[in-house]
Amino acid sequence: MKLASFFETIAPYLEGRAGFETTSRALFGASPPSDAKRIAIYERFCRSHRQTALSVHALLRELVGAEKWKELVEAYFVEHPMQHVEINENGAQFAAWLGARAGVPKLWAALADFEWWEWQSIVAPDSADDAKPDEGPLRLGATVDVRPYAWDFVSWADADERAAEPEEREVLVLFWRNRNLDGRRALASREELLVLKAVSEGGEVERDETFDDLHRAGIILGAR
Amino acid sequence: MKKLEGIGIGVRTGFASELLTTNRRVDWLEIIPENWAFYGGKKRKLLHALAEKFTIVPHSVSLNVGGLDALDARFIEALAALVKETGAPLFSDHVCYASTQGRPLHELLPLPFTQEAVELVGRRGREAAARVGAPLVLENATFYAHMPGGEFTESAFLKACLEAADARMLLDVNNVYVNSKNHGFDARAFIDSLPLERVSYLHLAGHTLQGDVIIDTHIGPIIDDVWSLYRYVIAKCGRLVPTLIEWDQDIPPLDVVLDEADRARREATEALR
Repeated sequence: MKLASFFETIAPYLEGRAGFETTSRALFGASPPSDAKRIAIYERFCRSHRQTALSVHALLRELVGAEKWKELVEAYFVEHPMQHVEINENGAQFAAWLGARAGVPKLWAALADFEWWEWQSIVAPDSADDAKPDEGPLRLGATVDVRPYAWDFVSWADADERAAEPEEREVLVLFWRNRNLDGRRALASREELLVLKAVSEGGEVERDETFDDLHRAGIILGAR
Repeated sequence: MKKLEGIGIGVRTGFASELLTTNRRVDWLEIIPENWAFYGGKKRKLLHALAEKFTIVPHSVSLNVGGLDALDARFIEALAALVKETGAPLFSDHVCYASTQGRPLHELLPLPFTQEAVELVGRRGREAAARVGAPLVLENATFYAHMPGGEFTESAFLKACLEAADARMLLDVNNVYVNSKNHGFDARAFIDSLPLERVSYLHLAGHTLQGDVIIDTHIGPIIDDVWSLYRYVIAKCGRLVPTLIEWDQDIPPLDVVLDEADRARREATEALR
């Protein structure tokens, strides 16, 4: 068997798109060697890696339940096979995929998005613009993002005793990496949003308490 | 260029920061580049701090030297940048495939032991080394099943791949042990058949018996039979080959991993007496 045929035969099995019997017969014929059954070990390993790839979604996994979660992960990777060697990056489309999937509660897709952006605030590549946070014109940190949600995931995630589901209410969540390089997220107030808007548009910015807080947190950078 | 000498350990997130402050001896470190190369923030800062203190070797699992797809350009570029950033003297991966049709599987998957695979590994290994800009070192991986169409024994296949790729060897002593038990061959005879002059460094790790097969889990501690095989390799090589302790699951406190490194130092010294 040429390598091209070998890969074409075994890949669907390793990716969870073909069964053992069909694959084993295609690879080894009617009289497989004694260790042929052990290709199942590799199928198990690859399946486990698919579960690992979405491990940033710990809250969602808990909300969905372990069995349903496994099904969702497998279904996602059938439609979105791995593309990236950094394993977590393969989950980049998961929230959008959940949002477009029939029968999936909108809450799940929104929570997946929330967890994804929380993760991004921790791992996003460094930006040269952030290297000197107290110099240069006022600007937003490279990792800053504001995203709308119909549930208050921040309060829910931070609660000492977490309710079964988050409170349903319109919120804006601010994601960023602080001056100590920790990933952060918080509910954004109207006052904060006005300051952020002014900074991003290069307009006049009042150096008030809200500005000071945002600058100290590493959300706004530049010479004060 | 930094030197690779003595006994090192694999960096794991749980104790990575502690490596900067420990008073215990750590000669060098190995990192999984897939888990570092694309990250900014705290992890990047930590990597730079570790690289200032230690020799670091990137040991990847996604080079896919035995695959048919083009080498992953983004990964190769990231690896090259990482080698430059850390001053790594070399980089390593495995004689295996890890991706098909451009889709990473995140697993070290066994190739058929064929001439076609040798030529593929040879061509791609040379290309990877040239593009990363550092010597490539290839490891003998564990394999649980022989793939169809094999024309070589494992050791003959490894030797041919290393020659074709003009690569140095990372000899994983635990993998030799695991394969010898799973496939019923003599581990010392296998060692004897390898091109030991090509060995740049060694791996030591734990493993796990699951049913009738030993899985290369990298769960320690290292068992006595593997220590015995390690002494055999060191004596056979006649030099203190740089050695790395891998502990990748059920990861204990740093001191426990460093206890294994200390033991490797003692065992190697004893083997050379």
